[in-house]
Amino acid sequence: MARARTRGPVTDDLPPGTVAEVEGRVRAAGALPARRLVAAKLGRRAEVLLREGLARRGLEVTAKVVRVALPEQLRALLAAQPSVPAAGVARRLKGASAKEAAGAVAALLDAGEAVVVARGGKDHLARPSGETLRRDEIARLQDAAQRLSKLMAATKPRRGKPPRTLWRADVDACVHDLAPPGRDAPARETRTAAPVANTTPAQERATAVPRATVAPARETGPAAPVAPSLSSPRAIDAPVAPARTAAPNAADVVVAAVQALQRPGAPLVFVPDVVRALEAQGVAAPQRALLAAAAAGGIELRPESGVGLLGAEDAARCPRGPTGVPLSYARILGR
Amino acid sequence: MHSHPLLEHADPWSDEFVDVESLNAAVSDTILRSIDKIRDGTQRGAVPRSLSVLVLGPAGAGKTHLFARLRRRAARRTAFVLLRPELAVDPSPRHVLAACMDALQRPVPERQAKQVDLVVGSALALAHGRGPQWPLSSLEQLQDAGAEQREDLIESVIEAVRRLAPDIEESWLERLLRLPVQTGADRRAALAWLSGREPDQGQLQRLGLTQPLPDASVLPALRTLAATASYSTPLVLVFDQLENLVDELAGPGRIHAYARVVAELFDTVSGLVLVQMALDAEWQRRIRPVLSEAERSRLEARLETLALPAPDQRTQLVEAWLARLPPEQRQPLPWPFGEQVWRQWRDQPGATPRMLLVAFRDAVERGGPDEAAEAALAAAADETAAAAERADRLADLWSERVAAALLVMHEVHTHGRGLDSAPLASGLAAALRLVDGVQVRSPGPRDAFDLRLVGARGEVDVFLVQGAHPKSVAERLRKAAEAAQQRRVVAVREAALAFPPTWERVGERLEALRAVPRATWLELGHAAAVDLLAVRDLLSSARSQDLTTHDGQPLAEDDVHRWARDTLQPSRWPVLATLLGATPDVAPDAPAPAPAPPARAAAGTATPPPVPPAAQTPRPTPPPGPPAAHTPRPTTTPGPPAAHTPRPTTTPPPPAPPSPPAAGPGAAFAAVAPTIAAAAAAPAAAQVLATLRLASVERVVAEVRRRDPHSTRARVMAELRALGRQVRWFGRSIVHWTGDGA
Repeated sequence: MARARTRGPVTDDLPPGTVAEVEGRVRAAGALPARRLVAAKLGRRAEVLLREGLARRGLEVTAKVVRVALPEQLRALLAAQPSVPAAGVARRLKGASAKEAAGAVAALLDAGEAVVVARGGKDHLARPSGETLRRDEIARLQDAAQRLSKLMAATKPRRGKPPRTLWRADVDACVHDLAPPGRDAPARETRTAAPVANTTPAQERATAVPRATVAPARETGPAAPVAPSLSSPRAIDAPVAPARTAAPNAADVVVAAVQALQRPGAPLVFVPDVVRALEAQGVAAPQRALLAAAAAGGIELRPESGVGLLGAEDAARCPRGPTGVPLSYARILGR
Repeated sequence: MHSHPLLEHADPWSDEFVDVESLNAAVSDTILRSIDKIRDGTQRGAVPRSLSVLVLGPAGAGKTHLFARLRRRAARRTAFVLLRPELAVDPSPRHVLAACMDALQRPVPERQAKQVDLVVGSALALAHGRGPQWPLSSLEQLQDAGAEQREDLIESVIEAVRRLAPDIEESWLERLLRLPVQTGADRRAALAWLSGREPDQGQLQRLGLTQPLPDASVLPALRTLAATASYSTPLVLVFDQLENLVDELAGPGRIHAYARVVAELFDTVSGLVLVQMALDAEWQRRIRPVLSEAERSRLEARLETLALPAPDQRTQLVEAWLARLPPEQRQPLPWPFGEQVWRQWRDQPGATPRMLLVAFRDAVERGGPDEAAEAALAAAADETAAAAERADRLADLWSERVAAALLVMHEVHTHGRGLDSAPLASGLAAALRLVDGVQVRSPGPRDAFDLRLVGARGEVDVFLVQGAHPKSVAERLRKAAEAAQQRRVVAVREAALAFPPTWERVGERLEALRAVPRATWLELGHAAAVDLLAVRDLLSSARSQDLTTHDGQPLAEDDVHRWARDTLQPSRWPVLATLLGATPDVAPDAPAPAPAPPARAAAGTATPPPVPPAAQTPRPTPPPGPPAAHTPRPTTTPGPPAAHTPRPTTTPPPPAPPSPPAAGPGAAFAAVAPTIAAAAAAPAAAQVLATLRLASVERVVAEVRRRDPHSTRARVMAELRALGRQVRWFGRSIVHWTGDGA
C-alpha cells in the first residue's frame, strides 16, 4: 500500500463504505498502522470520521495503530490453544506494546477469564477449564504431595537397617487424592467413554498431555480430533506397519503418554505405566498402539533387561518383541 | 556352531568385528569428543577435569561392541581400560590402578606396541614439545638413548609432567617411564609395584624398595598416569556390567563404594574419560534410586542411551554379516531368512543386534530359508525341549568360561604371581551363592577377613593369603589365627604359590594357625581356581544378561543358577566342602574324595610341597603315601564336577577305568586315558585331549610328552590341527575336545 500523503488530492469527505472496508482489513491483519488505513490522502475531518467509525465498530484506535481489541485478541488466542506461554503473549498480540499486552493480560486475569498455569517450569496462560486446577484442588494436591513425600522419605536407605517398602494401599490413598475432584474415584467408572480415561497420577499426566500435544493438529484444521482416541477404528485396527502414516491417532496418543511420563534425567519410560495410563481402552489396544508408534518411528520399544524386576502383572502389560521378549521400556525418538 | 566366525558376544578387545557405524554413532561420537576435549585441553597447557559418560542399554544392545568400536577408532591415540565389578569385593582406587596397569600391557591394534608405550611416548612428546600425534616416534628416542642420555630424558619428562600437573607422584612416574625399556624380571617387578600389587621380596630388592605402593600413593599414582597420558593418549576407563554391583542381600553398600570411587576419580583426578555402562532397567530401578544427589551428579554427568537398530540399520548389519560368509555359501538378502521371516526381523520393534545376530547365525546353520520348518520349530518348542536346549547351551557357555579362566591363570602365572584376592574372593562368593542355606558377607572397613560365610553350622571366616611378601603373609596368618579364637577360619592360598623354605616366620605362623582347633589351611589347586574364576564369570554374565539361548533370548539368572547348582554341583567341590566344614558328598561316578580330617590333626605336620598343576588335573587320585591326616588336600582330591567336563548334559562321561590308577606324576592321566574308547586308535594328542576335554596347548604337549618322550611340540600341534572339528580352538593356546565327527 502506498503512503496516503503521496497519493491524490486531499479530501475532507469520507467515501461511503470506507469504514467497513478498513475494519475488514484490520480484523484480517489484527492491526494496521494508522497512517496506512486508506490509499487516498484524508483531510483532517475525514481522518477523524474514519477513526471514530472504526472505534464504534469495536476496534482499538491509538495514535499509531488501529487493532482488534487486545482482550478480544487474547480470548481468540486462548481459544485456539489450550495454553500459551506467558512470555510469548506480547509477540502474539498484534499492534500492542509489551506494556499494553501486560495490561490486557492483567485485566483478563482480574476478570477471571484467564489463569496462569505452571507447565514445564514456565508460566502459561490458559482459559479456566476442567484441565486446570482450582485453588481448593491445589490445596488438596499440596496436602497429598506432602503425605506422599513423607512416605517416600520412609523408604530412604539407612545404614544398618533393612530396606523398606510401602504399603500399596497407603500409596494408593495418596495417589487417589492427587487426582483432582471430579476426576477421581467416581470418574473412573463414569469416564469409560472418555478417550483416555485414567486412574492414577501417571495416567492423569498421560491424558493431560496428549490433549495438549495434539493441539497443533487442531490448529491445522477443524477436522482434527480434539482428543484422539485409542478406540478410534483408524487407530486400533490399523495394522502395524513401518510407514509413519499408519495409525496416526494411536501413535500420537502413546507418544504423548510416553512424553508425559518421562522424568528429567531418565529418558526411559516404563511401558506398563504407559499402558496403565491408557488402560480404559483395555490392555490390547494400548499395546497395539505402542507397537504402531514404534513402527512409525515415534518411540523405541526396548526389551526388558532387569533381573527379576518385571512382575507378572507388568509383564502382561508389555507388548512382545522378537522371540516373545517383553518390551518394557519406551524412549522418545528423534529420528 | 563351535567354529562359527559369527559369535553373539563381542570380545571387547577384538579387532575383528562387524560394525554399522551409523548405529549409536551419537554415543560413540560423544565419547570420542570427550577424548578430544581432554587432549586439546592438555595441549593448551592445563589438564582438563575428567569427563563422565553413563551409557545405558538393554542386554545385547551393543555395550561391549561400543567399547570395541571406540578402540578401533581411537586406540592409536587413546589408552583403554575395561573394569568390571567383582561379585564380593567393593571397588577401590587400588583395583582401578591394577586394572589400568594390566590394560596398559595390551597391544595397540595394528601396531607393534603396547598401550603403555603410547602413554610413555605421550609424556616424551609433551616434554620435547613434539606434536602429540606421534607418541611412538618419541618413544623410540628413549629406547635408542644411551644410559646417561636416557636419565636426562626421564628427568626432563618428569619436569614437564610436573609443570602440567604439580601434584604427581614423581617416583611412580619415573618407574612408569622406564617400563618400555625394561624386560624380564625387571619389568615384572616394576609392573607389580606400579599396579599397586605386592611385589615379592626379590622384586622389592630389584626395585630398591622396602614396601609396596602405600595406600596414600594410589590416587596420586592414578593422577600421575592420567596427566601423563592426557597430552597425546588420554586414558579412558570403561566400567562395564555395573548391574553386578547390585546385591540384594548385602544392601546398597557396593553401589555406594563404586559411586565413591568414581566420584573420587571425577573430582580429584584430571584428564580421565570415565565411561560407565549398565543395563538400563537395572540402573533405573536398582542403582539410581539408592544414589545420593551428589553421587548422581557425578555418575550421571552425561547420560547416553543406546539405541536399537532401525530397519535400515538391521539390513546393513545382516548384509555385513553375509559378507563375512564364504563366497560359496553367501546369497543375497533375504537369505538366510525367508521373505516373511526377514520382514519380521527387519521391522518388529525391540530387536537388539544380538537377537538379530543369533537369528541370522541359526538360519545360516540351518542352511537357509525354510519358513515351514521355522514355524514348526517354534510350535514344537515345548518346555522339555526348551529345557534340554537351555542345558545344552549352558554347558557350552560354561566351557567358554572355563577356557577364559584357563587363559587368565596362564597369564597370571606367566607374570610370576598368583591370582589377585579380589577375583578369588568373588569366585568363592559366586560358588557359595549356589549352595543352599549359606549366606556370604563381604568385609567392612575394619574386618580382617575376606569373606564371612553364615550357614546352619555357624559362621566361617575366609582369609585369602595370596601375598607375595613374607611379612604380609605372616601378618595375614597371624590375623587368621587370631580370628580362629572366635570362630571357624579357613585360610586359603593358591597351591602354586608355595612358601619358600626361607620364609621361616611364615612357617611358624602357619604352624601356629594349624594348632588352633577351629582353623583350616586350604591350598587351592589349579583346577579349583579355574572353576572358581569360571563360575564367577558365569554368574556375572548371567546378571548382565550376557548369556543367551540359541534364539538370542537372555537366559534368566535363576535358570543359570539352577543349572549350575544341579550340574556343576559346587557344594561337592572339595574347596567349598572344606569351607562349609563338611565332608563332600561322594558322587556315584567319582572316586571318593579324601576325608576332611579335624584341623587339630594338622598341628606339627608339614604340608607336603604342592603338586604342580599339570599333575593335578584332571582331578588325579591322591598319590599314595601318608594319608591325608593333616590338612584337607582338596587340590589333589578328585570330585565332580571338573572344569574339564564342560558339557555334562550332552557328553556322556567316559567309562570307569578298568584298573586302579598307578602312582606317580601323571598316573591318574595314564589310568584314565586308555578308557577313552573314541580316541583309542587316534593320535596321542587326540587321546590326551579326549581325556582332558579342555586344556591349554602346553598342557596337551606336556601330557603327550609324558607318554612319549620322543614326541615334539610341532608334532602335537600338527595332530591337533588335523583333528578339524573334533577340536575347538579358543585363541591359539586353549583347545576343547568336541568329538564332532570322531
